[in-house]
Amino acid sequence: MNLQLSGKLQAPERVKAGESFSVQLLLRHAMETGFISDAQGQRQPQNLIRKIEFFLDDTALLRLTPSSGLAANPYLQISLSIPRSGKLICRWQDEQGAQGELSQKISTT
Amino acid sequence: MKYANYVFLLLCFLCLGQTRAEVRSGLSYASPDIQALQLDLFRNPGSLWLEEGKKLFSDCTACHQDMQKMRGVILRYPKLSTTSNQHTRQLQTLEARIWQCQSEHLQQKPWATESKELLAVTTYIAHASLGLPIERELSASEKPFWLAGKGLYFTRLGQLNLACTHCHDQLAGKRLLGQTISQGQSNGYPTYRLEWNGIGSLARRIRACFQGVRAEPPPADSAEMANLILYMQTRSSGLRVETPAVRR
Repeated sequence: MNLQLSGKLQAPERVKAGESFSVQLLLRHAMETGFISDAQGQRQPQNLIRKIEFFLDDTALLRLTPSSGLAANPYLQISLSIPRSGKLICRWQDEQGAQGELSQKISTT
Repeated sequence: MKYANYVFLLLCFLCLGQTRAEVRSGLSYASPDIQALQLDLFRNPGSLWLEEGKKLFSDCTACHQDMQKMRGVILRYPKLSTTSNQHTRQLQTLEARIWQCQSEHLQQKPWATESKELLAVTTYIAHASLGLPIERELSASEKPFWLAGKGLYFTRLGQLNLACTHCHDQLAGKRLLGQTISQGQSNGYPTYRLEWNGIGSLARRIRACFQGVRAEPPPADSAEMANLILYMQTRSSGLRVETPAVRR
């Protein structure tokens, strides 16, 4: 997998099983809407993050499908709950196929 | 002619004393939302550049092992370049110093002005001085550069025929095009601007001001720009480094 996109993920290291906790995500992306022209007057093709997914190890937790309403370098705060300890993985992908991945171990009590 | 310039500067200085009461960071003019965004270092989008800068700076650690020693470095720039010949000494911005390091010590092709790599590293180095107060002592050899920068600051330019001082000293706090005019302090640069959707250097912001008064902007790596940045540095005395600041 080609991981070209960068970002930051912040989640607590210890949570209670089944109780919701907050995950913060800050992604570096221009979120090109397709309406912007560059200095030469050329339209920049639309290129948005169209898929953000959260996994606990292999189990899918959440899928988001953002659109042009999200600003450049988007910040997201999401509530999640997990039933057991594991590795929280976040993967995202834009329309040109560039991908990013961040992960953090979380243990439940 | 020279004499007239000095008289003009003196007059400007006297006017300045009456119109500008206290030094205010651009942060104090920003909305509460933007202030909160800057102060939360996770949410602050400039932190994305810090992460990249940290990675790129790993090339520099052969000489600069101790990041603690980089604390305070941004406060000393622009400074005179280190050459043996007194007459060819130039005022060097942090960017120019990085280019020198790249070509002399790293055998790398210097990064372009305003490239994402250069912005990442300058942001990372400036951030190492976060919270330090700006106090700039000028040496005798720096003084002519400072005077040239100050002269530019007070020179009317462009079709609108305005100098920096007209907005940023005399009209700071008033409104222009739906926005509050700030004092134009340099303590948060490189800064994340929402308008740019990214980090930009002080030179980029100054060039935007030149375009705003419809004057021809000096190139980012020009001597004029370095002089002006040096003058602005002394103008920000007492403010603390905020890099990466967030502005609208």
